[in-house]
Amino acid sequence: MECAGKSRGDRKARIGRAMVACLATALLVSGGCQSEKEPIRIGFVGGLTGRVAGLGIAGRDGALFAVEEINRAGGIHGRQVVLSVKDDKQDADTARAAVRELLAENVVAIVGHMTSSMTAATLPIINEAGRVMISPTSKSNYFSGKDDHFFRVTASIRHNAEKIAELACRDMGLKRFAVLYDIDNRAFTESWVKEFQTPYAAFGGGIVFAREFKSGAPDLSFFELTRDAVDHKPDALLVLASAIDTALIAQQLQKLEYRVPVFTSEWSFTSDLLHYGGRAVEGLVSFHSFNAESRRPLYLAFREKFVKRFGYDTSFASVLTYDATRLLLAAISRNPAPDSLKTTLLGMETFAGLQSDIAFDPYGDVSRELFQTVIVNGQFKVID
Amino acid sequence: MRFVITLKRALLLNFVLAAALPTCILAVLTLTYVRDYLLDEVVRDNRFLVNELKGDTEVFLQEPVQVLGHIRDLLVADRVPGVGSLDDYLEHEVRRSGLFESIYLLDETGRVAHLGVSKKLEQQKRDYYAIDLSSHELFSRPGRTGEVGWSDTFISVVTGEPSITVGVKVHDRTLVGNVSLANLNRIVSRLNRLKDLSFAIIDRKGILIAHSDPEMALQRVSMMFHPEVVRALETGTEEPLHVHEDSSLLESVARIPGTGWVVWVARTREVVLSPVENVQNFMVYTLLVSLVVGSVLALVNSRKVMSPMTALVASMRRLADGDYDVDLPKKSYSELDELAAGFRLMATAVSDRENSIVEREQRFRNLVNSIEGIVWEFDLKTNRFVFVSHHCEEILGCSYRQWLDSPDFWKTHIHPDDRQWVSDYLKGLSQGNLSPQFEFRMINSDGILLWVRNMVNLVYDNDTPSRLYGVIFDITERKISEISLRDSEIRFRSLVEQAADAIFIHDQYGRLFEVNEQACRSLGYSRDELLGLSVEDIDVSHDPVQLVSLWNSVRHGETVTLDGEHRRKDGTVFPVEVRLGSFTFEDRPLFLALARDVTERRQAEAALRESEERFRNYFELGLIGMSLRSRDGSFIQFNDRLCEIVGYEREELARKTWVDITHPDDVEESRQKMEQLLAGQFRRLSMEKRYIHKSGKTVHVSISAVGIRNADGVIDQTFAIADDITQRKKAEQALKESEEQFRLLLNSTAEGIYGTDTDGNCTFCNPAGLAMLGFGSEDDLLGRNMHEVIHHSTPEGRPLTAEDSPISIANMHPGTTISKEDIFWRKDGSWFHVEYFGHPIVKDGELLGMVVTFHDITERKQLQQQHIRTAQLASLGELAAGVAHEINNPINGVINYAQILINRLQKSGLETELAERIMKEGERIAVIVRDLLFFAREGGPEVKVADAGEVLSEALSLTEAQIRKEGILLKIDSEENLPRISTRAQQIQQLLLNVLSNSRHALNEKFPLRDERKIIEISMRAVTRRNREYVQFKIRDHGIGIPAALLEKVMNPFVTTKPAGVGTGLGLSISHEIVENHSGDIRIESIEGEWTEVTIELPATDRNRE
Repeated sequence: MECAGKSRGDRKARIGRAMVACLATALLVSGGCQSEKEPIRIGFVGGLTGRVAGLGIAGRDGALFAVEEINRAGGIHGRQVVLSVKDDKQDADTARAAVRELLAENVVAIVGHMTSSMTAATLPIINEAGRVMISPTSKSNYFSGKDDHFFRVTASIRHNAEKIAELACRDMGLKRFAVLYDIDNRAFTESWVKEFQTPYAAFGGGIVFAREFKSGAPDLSFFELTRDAVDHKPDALLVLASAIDTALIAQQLQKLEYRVPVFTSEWSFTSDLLHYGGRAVEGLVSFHSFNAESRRPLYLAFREKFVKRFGYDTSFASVLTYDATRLLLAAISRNPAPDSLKTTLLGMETFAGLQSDIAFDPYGDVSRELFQTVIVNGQFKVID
Repeated sequence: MRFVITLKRALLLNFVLAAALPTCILAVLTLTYVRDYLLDEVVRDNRFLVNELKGDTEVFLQEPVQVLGHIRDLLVADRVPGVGSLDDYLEHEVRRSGLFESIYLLDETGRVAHLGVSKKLEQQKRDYYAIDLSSHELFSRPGRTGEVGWSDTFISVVTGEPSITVGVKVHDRTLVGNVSLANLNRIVSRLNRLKDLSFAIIDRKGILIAHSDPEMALQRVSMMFHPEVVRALETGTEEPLHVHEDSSLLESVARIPGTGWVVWVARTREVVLSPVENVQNFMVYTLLVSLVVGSVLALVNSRKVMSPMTALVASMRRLADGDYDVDLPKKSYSELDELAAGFRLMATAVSDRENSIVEREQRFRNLVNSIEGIVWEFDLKTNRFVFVSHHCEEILGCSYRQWLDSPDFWKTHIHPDDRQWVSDYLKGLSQGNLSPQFEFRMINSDGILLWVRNMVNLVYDNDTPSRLYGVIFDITERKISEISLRDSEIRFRSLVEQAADAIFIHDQYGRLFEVNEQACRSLGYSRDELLGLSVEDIDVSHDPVQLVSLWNSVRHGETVTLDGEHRRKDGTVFPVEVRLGSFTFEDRPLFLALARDVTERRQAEAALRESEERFRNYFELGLIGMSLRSRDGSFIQFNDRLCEIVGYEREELARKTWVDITHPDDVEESRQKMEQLLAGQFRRLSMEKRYIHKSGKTVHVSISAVGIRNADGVIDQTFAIADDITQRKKAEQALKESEEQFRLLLNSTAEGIYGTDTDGNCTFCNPAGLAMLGFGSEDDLLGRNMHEVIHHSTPEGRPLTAEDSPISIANMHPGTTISKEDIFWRKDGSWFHVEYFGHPIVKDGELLGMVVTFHDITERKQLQQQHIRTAQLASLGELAAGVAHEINNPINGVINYAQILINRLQKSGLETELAERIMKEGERIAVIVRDLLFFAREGGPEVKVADAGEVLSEALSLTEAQIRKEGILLKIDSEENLPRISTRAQQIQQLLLNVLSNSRHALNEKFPLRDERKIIEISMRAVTRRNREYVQFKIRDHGIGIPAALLEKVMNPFVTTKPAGVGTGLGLSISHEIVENHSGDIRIESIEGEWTEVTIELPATDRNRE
């Protein structure tokens, strides 16, 4: 009896084992294609449409280039990187919605925004969520010296503003400035004007005319705006606006045949300025952390590939966004946990950017070398 | 694991293959077909769609070109229709066609010369006039008139959205139209009805112009990452379809002629091939099901076929195990039945042979087990015991099974010290080169040690050692008796060898039979040499006859000890103490002599004797009194010096105890200490006490005593030395008395006296000094640096260095007494003037310290200052008298002449006014001169007795009007029944007026206008000074006060706080003079900016005298 019982039990066990083997085979066949590793998702947010889109598009392409590059090289520890792109349309509400969408997609970190006003709008959400945001181009002083989740690879505007005040007032003797600034990017432009005023006054200069305007407003007339400025007989103009708006103001100035030096911020120095400015923007001066004539091999290699990939030349926006994205990916490769990424970033040693080395201070800010850039013969020219 | 092909497995595999193979083949064929079919479909579909999109786009592009062509024609012909300007016409065309946002004409320099805009842009129109668009690609692109060019997309200045421009050259001008991309997007989105399809129109740079997702076009996404787009833009190919196996998209592209743009259609590969995937999945699952079913069937069948064979195998196993009666299966398959019959035959034959073997083995076993030892067999190949006889249990207490089953049994039962060598020995045996018998120790199961002998025999198999046979016998009892005998001998030998004495055994003839190591060492012979000698050769202190007699005397068991001398091999002789005895060995009398070398003992005895001699000499030398006493205090021994100290003869002293010669007052203390010494509480007793000399006088002695222990360690004697110190005691007493006197002197003197060591630290200070310095006790100062305590800085706070201290000065001028006026600081932080004298303490030319005497000279200092001022005033008085006399006459003349002038002029006018001023100023000079004269004059008017209140009232009546005018309030507080004063009333009035004038001035300076704080308080009361009654006036104001620096000088002439012309600076010095003339006192106290108080005390008239 015992013998028979045992043999029946053996039989059952064997049939069971066979079934398990079959099921395992079935699972392997049907699930084989899902064995790839989960991709790492990062976000990009910037103004991709509208008048300031030039900046955002160049930034997006810079970020995309960095992501494509790392994916071609096999991703991060075998995981592909997915870049989720959002358009903030240079509008605070849209920007907030875009950032919330990215957080809902559970991105590890966000590259953006490209303008300070948008950064100011979404920073509280970022800090609350505890996710890192690294901006290529938000320069407002408002973000300086704060221990938060915001990082940037560009220096704050203070140094730019001081440089222009020094050059205009001390070196060129320009004591009467007219200032036109776009409040669509208020966080940037107002901070800029404030930083400019103090050193400019210290060198003995005075602002004879200051006017804010809202880019794209239906009743906005650049002609009248410029004429009002000219009426105050300034001996120089400071324009804090996007490339297109700066170009149009320069056009009006030429039309009014009022020839004085025009100074601008980094914001407007994209190819759109040359495209829309024509001869009117000849001689425009700005200080840049981007060196259009950089001979750094890292940059030259990037430039060649970038032009081939996107069909247009690099600008500060694409270079800084590429740097920011690469830096972020390097940090993620050390620590892909979003919650402690901030500490990883702060602990990173000096990072070799395309044009200069990047090292964060304890607040996630950086300082960079500035290059005096002038438009000569329709080209950006760096003055040594 | 090795794979074994079994019948069952082979059957199973065949079944499974038969079930699954057809399904697999069918699946692969079906999948290939479906996939090819679907891809063909997509090719056809995409080609169609690309062409459709391309056609639509071309149509879209034609319209703006036509409009611009029309305008161009008009411009070329210079025939712009309508009444308005060219601008109006362009605007008309923009709004009519609805295709453009704006149309503008660029002049030859690239400036906007004419402009037409859509209605929504009208507001900004002005911004675009005359702007420089020379950088615009359509302007910079060379071309012939009428040639049409399309730009890439760019962000419209006007709308901020991506747009494109179409340009037409009109001679050297360029007509440009900004085309809204909204229409183009509409075309693309029309195709969106097709699911899973993406469409795009892409510019020459690869940037989207339109896309099925309009947002992407708005964001100007670059499509250069699509290989087909890149290829189309680079090569210009219009090949409609490329399928990339490794791409997730199936893309089709086509170029639009004239623009360089590309039309792109793509489908998601996953979606396109989803039917194929579905079929594939279906096939896989079918295959799996087939496999499962096939496997189950195969399992069931194979089991049925295999069951008789499995039963046969099971029976065979039991047969092999020795069950020869097992039932073999019957009637299954015929082949298996034949096999079973064969096995049955074989089982019977095997059973018979086995029984005969068992019988033989049992016989052999009985034989072996009858041997009184453990018979064993060891297999050298397997390294295991294969047989052990039953005797194992008797000898080791364990069953032979345990030995066989446990491979380590043998080793664990060998004594641990023997394990290794026994194991090595057995190995050596197996190589055939050792004795086959050997002995070793084993441990039985009770842990008891056994001695065994093992007899081993090596057996060869084909010339190779293969087995060891052996028998183990228990030899424990024999072994134990052997060992105990040996141990006893070793113990005895070592006792003899290690003895400290030399041992000799000899016979009755003196021949040495046995000597120990010590005997050899002490005599310097080797053992063999010594055994060849006799006692006579060694013992030099006895002749042979004496020796024989000695031996005879100990023949009967006694033992004797005798001293003698032995001679070493080198001839030297040494003393020995020999103990001799006899015993009988093998019926022979033998003698045992133990000789001890006593050289050292002899030497020690000699040294002791010498030491004793030395001590006795010292004892009798008589430098110091010495005595040895018994416990009861009687003298056992004493020397002459002790007799001399107490004045007794030896015999007299010998009868006394130490108590008899001790002073009665010291007996009790001495007895206590002596008892403690005898009790061993301390090793040495030292004390000073008094003896009574035989003559009755007291002798001071210093006693030092120690206890002496007897052989039992008990102190039963004391040894004491006594030194006469009477002379020293007397000298000490004299010194003490002298010091007492000296201290009395110090304490009684009024001068402060303190002493310091060379570092300036206080060694003493007398009470007068302590009182002056404000210290309560001398202890507050002792050890402290006097310079740092009382002389650290000047009154102005300038620190004084150590070089300024008296001791430093004394160091610089050795041997001289220094005297100096200086200041000392009190404990409470105040200071006072002193004159001090520093007397250095010098001994043998070395400075040991200093004694400083000092006294307070504050009063003297004040007197000195007062004398100086009096002398100053006297000289000034003389000078003033001279000057006053000389001025008095001319100034009277001046006044008179001025009066004459006034009289003559008789009427008011400038001249009269001038003359009046001359007179007024002249009178002022006259008053000053009068004051000076008063200052110079000695004595004054006659002295009268007056009431102090009256004197004050008179003075006030002269100045009250002025005081009221200046708004000053007077507060007068007078004690009743004030004594009267003897005054020169006029002088006292002047004194009070001077003081009041100063108060007024001070108040007016502080409060130029009326103020409620403008008050002068005057009080009068009687006070007693130096046993005499005085009337005290206190005049206090809350005005500007007097600077502290000036306070001491205000009494000097010509010192004033008033501006020049207001005061002469004589007022207070005159006041001082007046008070002095009255034998009174004047004091001024003030705090600058707060208040001033002048106290005048004038002697009262004796009431009784009145």
